[in-house]
Parts: sequence; structure tokens; C-alpha cells
Amino acid sequence: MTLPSAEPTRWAETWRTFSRNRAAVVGLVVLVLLVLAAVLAPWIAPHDPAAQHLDLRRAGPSGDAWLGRDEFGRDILSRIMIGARSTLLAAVGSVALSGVVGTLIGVLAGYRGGVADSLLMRAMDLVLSFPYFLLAILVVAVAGPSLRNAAIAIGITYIPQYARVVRGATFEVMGKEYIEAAHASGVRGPRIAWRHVLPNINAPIIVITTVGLALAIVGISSLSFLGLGAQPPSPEWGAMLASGRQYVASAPHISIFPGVAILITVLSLNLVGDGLRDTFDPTLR
Amino acid sequence: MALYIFKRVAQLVPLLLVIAFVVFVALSLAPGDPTTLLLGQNATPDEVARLNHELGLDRSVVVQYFSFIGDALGGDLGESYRSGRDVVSELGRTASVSATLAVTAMLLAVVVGVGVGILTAVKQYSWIDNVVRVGVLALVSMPVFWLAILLIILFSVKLSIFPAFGWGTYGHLVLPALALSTYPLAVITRLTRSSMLEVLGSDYVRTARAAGMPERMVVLKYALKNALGPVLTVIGLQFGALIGGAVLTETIFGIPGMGRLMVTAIEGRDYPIVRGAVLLGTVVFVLLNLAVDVLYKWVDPRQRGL
Repeated sequence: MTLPSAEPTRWAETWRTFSRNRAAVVGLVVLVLLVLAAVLAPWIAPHDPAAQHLDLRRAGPSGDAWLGRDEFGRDILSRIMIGARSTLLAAVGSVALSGVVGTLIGVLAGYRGGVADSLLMRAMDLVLSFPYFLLAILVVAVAGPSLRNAAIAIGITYIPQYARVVRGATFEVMGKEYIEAAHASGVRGPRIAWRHVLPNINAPIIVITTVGLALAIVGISSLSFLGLGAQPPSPEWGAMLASGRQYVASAPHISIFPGVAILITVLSLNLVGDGLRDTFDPTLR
Repeated sequence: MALYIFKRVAQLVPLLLVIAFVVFVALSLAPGDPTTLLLGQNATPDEVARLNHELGLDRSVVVQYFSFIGDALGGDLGESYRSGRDVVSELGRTASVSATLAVTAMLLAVVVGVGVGILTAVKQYSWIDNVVRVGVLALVSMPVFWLAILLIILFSVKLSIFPAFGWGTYGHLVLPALALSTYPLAVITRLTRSSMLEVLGSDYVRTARAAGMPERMVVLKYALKNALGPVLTVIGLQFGALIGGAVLTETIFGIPGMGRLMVTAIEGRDYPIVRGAVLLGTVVFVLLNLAVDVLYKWVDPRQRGL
């Protein structure tokens, strides 16, 4: 069963509201460029990101290497471009984990109510009672340091955000007539959740996903910085920054530029997130 | 009020037991058993079995957990696998350093954040409001470890005003506290602004103004008191971010605090230390949030009936 064309109009309207927010559009454009740079990195990177030039170790920015070279003489710009793949993929994977698990928990709690609801929400409270970074460190301590485990660890800490928002939104939707109508016509629970509940709560989900991506990039690169995430010679941004730490006096650019990459990415995500929040919830404006 | 506090404290007991259980079980699943760590690769199976028995590791995880809780209530969190030193005294030594850092950073964040938040709410849409809004967004997007490195490059390497490494003097506290305060500072500023704006638009503020009360008193006496509730809550939550940020800050500035103790312990698979540090950090966070809830009720009488 397909509904008439109400959907396209709604999205077109959302876009019109969103595009009026100039900062958010700038953020979106930067994000698109970043993704393009990451995807096309092997072809458009100015140098081979893995090639070492020991005679050019720690060379500062120049016409040849715009952002300078690292402690092995590798081109920092090329490494940031190829590293965008690890950083972005890890963040997307991390948020996908929290999104899928958290949404399932939220829909289940909101749809079932009662004992299931209070049990699931107590479990979420338990996760939230840890300072999030300590919980992530605990997970990595158990699972071992790697980029994948860092992404999982940060993903776990963000599950409650999805669960809470989705549960609240599900409660709200459950009172609507179209859910009653679906029930009355004999549609089963999971199908109602998938076809009728989720599509109607996608606005809050999109907003927390954007914010979650920003938090995941900071969280994962923080773990990598401590040596608990991506391991050298990975060009993950946090790991790159960490390896330049011992040269802050003589070659600060090795640490500065990967941090700039993190800042630009996270800032763009936050701009887009703010724009989306304003778009979906006009009362907050 | 006393009943409320009692009820909240009573609820804490099961929560803390479950937190301890999660941490305990998780770390018991961690790779690398302590016996190989203590005895080396060449230990005979006999030696390993004897040590396992001595450490109580041949018992089931649940039995181990209960004996851990029993010991913990008596103030004993076990011994470091590496140094053999008492975990409680290791934590005590480092926790005071971390607390000094965290409290300084939080004070800075609250004073500046609430102040700037009020200012931007009163002067909504002015140039200062716009500058602060951009600044807040930049600060929340900035990884604390990168900001710390920028501060070191500027104030230690270039200007040689503050030391980049170590602990012990007030000078050593400046850069780490500054780096650590920025994230909560930005969040508190943003929240104070929006909370104040909401209150300033409310009926009772309009009444106060209509009655001819000076604007200064309207803002600082009526509005601020009512706007502070949500700010308090977010301060409590920001302590969670602060505890995480302290781990990074201590690592960068070479501060002998609990965060660095924990990171070193993870590298060395020194799980009793990791367990103690995670538990202490979490208990402090939970207690701080309880304190904030109580304070909220005390500040805002509207909350008391609930």
C-alpha cells in the first residue's frame, strides 16, 4: 500500500525551511565536500599518504605539502584525506549501532509499556549513570584497543539517547487515530511499529543522529588519542594528532592540522544539527 | 525534604550494586589473566593454579563479586597486579589531584558560563550575543586534547608563561583547568541564555516590570533564581563530561591524577586499578547528580511538591 504523494511535499517543505538557515547550509556543503574528499582520496590526494620521505621529516607547510609533513616525512594533507575514511566510517558505524539498538529498545518500550518499558528504561538509566567516557574506556579495556572497538564503545554510550527520544515519540504516536485504525484492521505489532510508528518519528531521530555523529567523532578520536582506539600508522585523526604530540615545540603543525580537521567536521555536523532542530521544531526557534 | 533525600539515597544502594556488578563482570571477561602477568610466560601450571587460588580467581565470578563487595564495604578494593600497592591508597593519592583540577575547571565554567549566559540573554540579538553564539558552537565542537595542545603551543612554547607539563604549583593548574573548562563552559552559557530568555518572557517578570521594579533587580533577583534550575541540572550532567575530559587533560599535561593512573593501568592490564578508578569516578558522578537534584528542589519551591 502506498500513500498518495504527501511525502515528497513534506520533504520539500522541510528543505525550504532548512535552506533558509545559512549557517546550516554551509555546514552541509562542508560535510558533502568532506565525504567527497574521503571517497576520492586515493585519486585526488596530492601525495601517496603512506610514502615516507625521511629527508623531509617534520617539514613545515610549503607549496609541495600544504599542511607540512609528519615525523616520517609523510604528507599530512594526504593523510588527513585518507584518514577521513577511518574517522567518518567509524563514526557512522558507531552511530548506526546506537541508532539500531536504541531505536529498537525505544519502540519496544513505548509500544509495549508496562513492565517491559520500566525494565528497559532502568537499563538505560544504568548506562547513563556512568560518565560516558569512563564507560567507553571500560568497554575498550575489556575488548582491546582498536578503531572498531572504540567505535563500539562510544556507540554503546549513546544508545540511551535514541531509546529515550524514540520511546517518548512512540508514546505520542501511539495515541493517534491511525494507530488505532491499524490495530482495528488486524495489523500486527512489529508491522505497526515499522510502517506506522517509525516513519512518524523520523524527525527527532534525524536530529539526534546528526548530533550523535559529532559526539562520536570527538569520542572515537579521544580514545585514539589515548592509544585506546586506532593504532599507528593508521591515519585516523586522533591517532595522527597523538603521534605529533612529542613535537609540539619544533613541529606543531603535525598535531594542529588533524585537530583542525576534527573541528571542521564536528562544527559542520553541529551546524546542520542545529538547523535540523529548528526546521523540525519551530517552537524552539 | 528530608524524606525525599532519604528516599533518593535508599534508591542509590541497588544502583551502586548493579554498577559495581557490571564493572566487575566486564573486567572479569577482559583478556590476559593476571597470573601470567604476575608469574611470566614460563610459569608451571602448578604455580598458576596456586596463585589463582590465592587471588581467589578459581571461584565463580558471582562469588568473587560478593567477596569484592564485602571487601569494598570494609574499604578494601584489592591490590594492583603491577605494583602490589593497595588500590584504595593509589586512588586516594591521585583522586585529590583530579578533584583539584575538576573543581577548578567547573568553577571557572560556572562563573563565566552563567555570567555570559545572563549577559547574552539580556542583550539578545546584540553583537555580543552573536559573537558568543558562534564562540559557543566552536567550543563545543573542539576536542579538548586539541585545545590543550594549542594552549601549550601558545602559552608554554611561544610565550613561556605557564608550564606545559607536571603538577605542584598554581601555574601548573592554569592551562589544564582552562582546557578542561571550555566544554562545560560553552554548554552552561548556552543553557543559561535560553533558560533566562524563557523566564524573562514570562508573566511574573512582566508583572515585576510593570510594577516599576528596576531592571537590574528583575534580572538578578526574579529571573535568575527561576532560571537557575535547569542550569543546575546541566552542571550535574557536565560533571560526567568533565570526568572524561580530565582523563585526556591529565594525559596531555602529565598530571599525576586518577585519569592517567587509569590509562596506564589499562595499558598494563592492571584491572584492579581500572576497576577501582571506574567505580570511584562513577560513584562520584552519581552522588553529584543526587546533590544537584536536592539542590534544585531547594532552590525552586515549585519542584518540591513532586
